[in-house]
Amino acid sequence: MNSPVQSGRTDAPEARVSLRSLLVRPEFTAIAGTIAVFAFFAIFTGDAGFLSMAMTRNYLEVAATIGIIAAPITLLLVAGEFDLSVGATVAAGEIVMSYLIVYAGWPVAPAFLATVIVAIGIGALNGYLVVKTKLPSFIITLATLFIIRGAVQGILRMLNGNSVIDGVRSAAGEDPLVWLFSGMVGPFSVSLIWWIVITGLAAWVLESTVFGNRIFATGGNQAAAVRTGIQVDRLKIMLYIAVAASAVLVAAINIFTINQGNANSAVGREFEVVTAAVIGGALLTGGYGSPIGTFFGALLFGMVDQGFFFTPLPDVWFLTFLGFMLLIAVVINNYTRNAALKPRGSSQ
Amino acid sequence: MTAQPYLEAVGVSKYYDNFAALQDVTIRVRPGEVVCLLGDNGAGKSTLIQLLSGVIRPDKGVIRVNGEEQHFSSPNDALDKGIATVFQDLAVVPIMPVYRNFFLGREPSTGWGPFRRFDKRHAIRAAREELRGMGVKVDDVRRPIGTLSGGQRQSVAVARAVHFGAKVLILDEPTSALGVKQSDMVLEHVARARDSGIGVILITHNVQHAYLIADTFTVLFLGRQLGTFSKSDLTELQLMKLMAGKLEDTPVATAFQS
Repeated sequence: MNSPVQSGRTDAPEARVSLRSLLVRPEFTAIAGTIAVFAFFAIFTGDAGFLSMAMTRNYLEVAATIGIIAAPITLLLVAGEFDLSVGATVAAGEIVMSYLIVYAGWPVAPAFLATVIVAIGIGALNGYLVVKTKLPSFIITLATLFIIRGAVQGILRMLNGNSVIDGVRSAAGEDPLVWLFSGMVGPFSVSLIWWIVITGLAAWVLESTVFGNRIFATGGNQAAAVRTGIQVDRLKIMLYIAVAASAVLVAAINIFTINQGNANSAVGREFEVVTAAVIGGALLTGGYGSPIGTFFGALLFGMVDQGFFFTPLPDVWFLTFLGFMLLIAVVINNYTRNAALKPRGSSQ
Repeated sequence: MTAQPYLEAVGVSKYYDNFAALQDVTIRVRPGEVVCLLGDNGAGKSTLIQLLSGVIRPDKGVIRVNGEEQHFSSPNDALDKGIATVFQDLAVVPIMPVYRNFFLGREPSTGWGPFRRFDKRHAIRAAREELRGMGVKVDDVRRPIGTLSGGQRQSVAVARAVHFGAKVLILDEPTSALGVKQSDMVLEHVARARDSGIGVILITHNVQHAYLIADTFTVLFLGRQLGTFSKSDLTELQLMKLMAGKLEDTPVATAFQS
């Protein structure tokens, strides 16, 4: 990491700037890490099946269900906030949508629409609590995580004495909209398309729109954002809503793929999406992050998650491995960000 | 000095509980004039600029812009009337590029409907030209603003306020954290802004900087106004003594007090 930056200093100014700006891009670590992990599994476990189409489909599917939520989470992190309630929101979405389809007999479209409205409510509540109390969003959304998860389990227990709703696919019957959530595009599941589209959308919003500029400002220096007239409260609430909406999209994908709505679904997903975003270059302190980097963070997560079972190590070591990856990524990202902010004194 | 003041605060007071942070203070700034607001810590300088910039409202007295009484509801409201304040924290985001900071909160956009986007090309070009026009040397506006020197950052903030049509520029201690060379650079930008017809209120406790650039001095001491003096009536030494609250052997500037 060190030598190219330093040797670059002696080059022409233009070349120096471009080389530096490449290295300090937030997505640099995630892309390099993804290539390294892919190479590792391809070389050591390729023969065992890591390179097979079935395996590729598997890790892309795992990555997609993380990446779909991690993209808007990245925008929220850049704005300086955090959402721990996404896993519980996935479960809430699964139960609401399965209930409407299986028990109430609704078609897929209105059931999904109603679920999205529930998500907007959850997101707005999270956002409103965070901006009104001005307490750390970590604590606020930890509370809503427990509230939502517990409510979903409790309500379902009262409804059917169980923690799952089965038979979603058969209840939906021939509804053509099912394809939107669990269809196949060539050899891959449609969730891959959602993941790519949502990542592209998040990247476009952050990098190329006025709203994106204000997301950066809100997380980079909230006082300055307020001074320049940016409505930071409204912006944060909108991002919480986007995050919750992405969580119920994953819920819809899950219930048609697994044929079941589960009140215990997506436990721990909140940490997986943050892991993807942080490997992808996002800073928990706000102001910095990249949906493209997060895309590769999620891809890396999926590869490690699935590829690990081909290694000779027992799969219980997966978390340890993941923890080291995360640690290495944040150390590198911290270094590159500091390099990006280092004053270059010549022009004083 | 015959022009009508663009911004004036007349007889303003501000109380916090029973404590008078500011009592019966009057300050005026005309187009193309630099007014220096001086005072030691706790003199009420910050309170006064918060009143002038719309952060807080006076308990007594009036604020007028172009002769019309105003009740600013927010800093943005004041900004709309041409009163731009560059606070000490500069309202910049260190990690964001210079051009994104330059247009923060007032981003130019292009495109149609849902595809409306931040016009980066225009923002980069406009920021570059505006800074060059003001004589601010920044070799790449796509760099994070945090990589610039303190003086450069201060200069960018001044250029931004001027670009967005400031008629009065309020600068809160722009040179307090800077070295000699950097301070000179910032004062030079203040002079340029003045020459283009902008009225400047410069807050400082550096008497040398004040004496170098100001036409008029308003001195505050413990929330009260010791007076407003024209540069010709006052030596640098007298100004220094005034700041410390020593009124003896200084001219009593009754002509300027209202």
